Amino acid sequence: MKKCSILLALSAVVTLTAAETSLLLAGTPDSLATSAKTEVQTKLLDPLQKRDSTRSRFSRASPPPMSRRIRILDSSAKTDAKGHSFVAFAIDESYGMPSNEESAWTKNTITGCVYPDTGDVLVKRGEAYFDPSMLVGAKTAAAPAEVCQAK
Amino acid sequence: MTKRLPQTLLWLYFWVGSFAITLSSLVYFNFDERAPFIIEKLPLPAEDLYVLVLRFHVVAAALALPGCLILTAKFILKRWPKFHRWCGRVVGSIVLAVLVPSGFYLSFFARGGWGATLGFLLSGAIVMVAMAQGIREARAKQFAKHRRLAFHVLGQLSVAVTSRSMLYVLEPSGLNPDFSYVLSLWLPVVGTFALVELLTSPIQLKLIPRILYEKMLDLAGTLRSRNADSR
Repeated sequence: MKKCSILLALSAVVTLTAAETSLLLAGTPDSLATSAKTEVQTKLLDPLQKRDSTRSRFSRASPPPMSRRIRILDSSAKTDAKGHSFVAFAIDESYGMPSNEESAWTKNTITGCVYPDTGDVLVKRGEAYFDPSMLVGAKTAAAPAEVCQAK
Repeated sequence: MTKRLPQTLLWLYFWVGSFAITLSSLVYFNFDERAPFIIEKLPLPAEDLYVLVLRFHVVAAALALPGCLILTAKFILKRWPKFHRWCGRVVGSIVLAVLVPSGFYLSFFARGGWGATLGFLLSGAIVMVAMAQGIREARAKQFAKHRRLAFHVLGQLSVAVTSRSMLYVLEPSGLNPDFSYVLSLWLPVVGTFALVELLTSPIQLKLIPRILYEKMLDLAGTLRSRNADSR
């Protein structure tokens, strides 16, 4: 009985320590950037790439880029008027042959913000923010004015 | 035979290009989704108006370019002159009433800034003047002048095909997309105008290189005989 309670206590300590560690890691700038990048990749770039592959090439629309990269612009999360935290991101695009040179990238072709807590991604067009599905053709209304605006 | 082969190939290229453009433009008639061409222009001051004008432009272009190709076909003109006149009236009305005005409006939202806007405005102005003057010359039975102006209209309408082909070729070059867009517009607009003038101008511009070559030969001959005399 004693052995059993010691084992239970030990497993509780291990679980708590692991949870504490993951919470601490989640707050670090690196993990914030990584989780934000994952959200942008999944909710914005993957659908965009899928759409690019089916587009007509005999059109006056901009050609799809050869590659895109995500930059997280904030090292720490900002808070909007409703108290939700977010980070800003920018997408750079590169056309033509792949190159390691910085000049090969056209910067800030898409900008927006990510809410790490909810995983929501929003893209900026003009002065308003929209759901990323707007960039693959969906007709979506603009998000409320306070989103992605630090208070 | 040697002259007809390039002409036939060019004619086929414009037919296939026109058909490809029409196919790729069907996306503008999907009422549930926005096309990539429209998405990249957002936010637009009046999106509904822009899309409506774009649809009119697309339908007019889908009729006008094939119409011009039919009108410039010699065998149709020879066998069915009445059809040529009626087809000309329909195409002329579409171009002047829909294609050019809608093109002027759309040009102000063109990618590539003022460089592209001016390119589209120039092309539209050439089409408008050439078509209006071409109709007047046809009514006055000045068929040589009518033919030259009709080729200017066809030339500028064919820019839709040649500029898209250039964009397609330039795509892997890594050039700035906006720059290659403006380049792919201006080169066909100015190049086609110059080519039509070269081939149809009454001043026989195509003889200029030959005249220059003959002058150079004369000069070389004179110099050679002078050298022979001085020895």
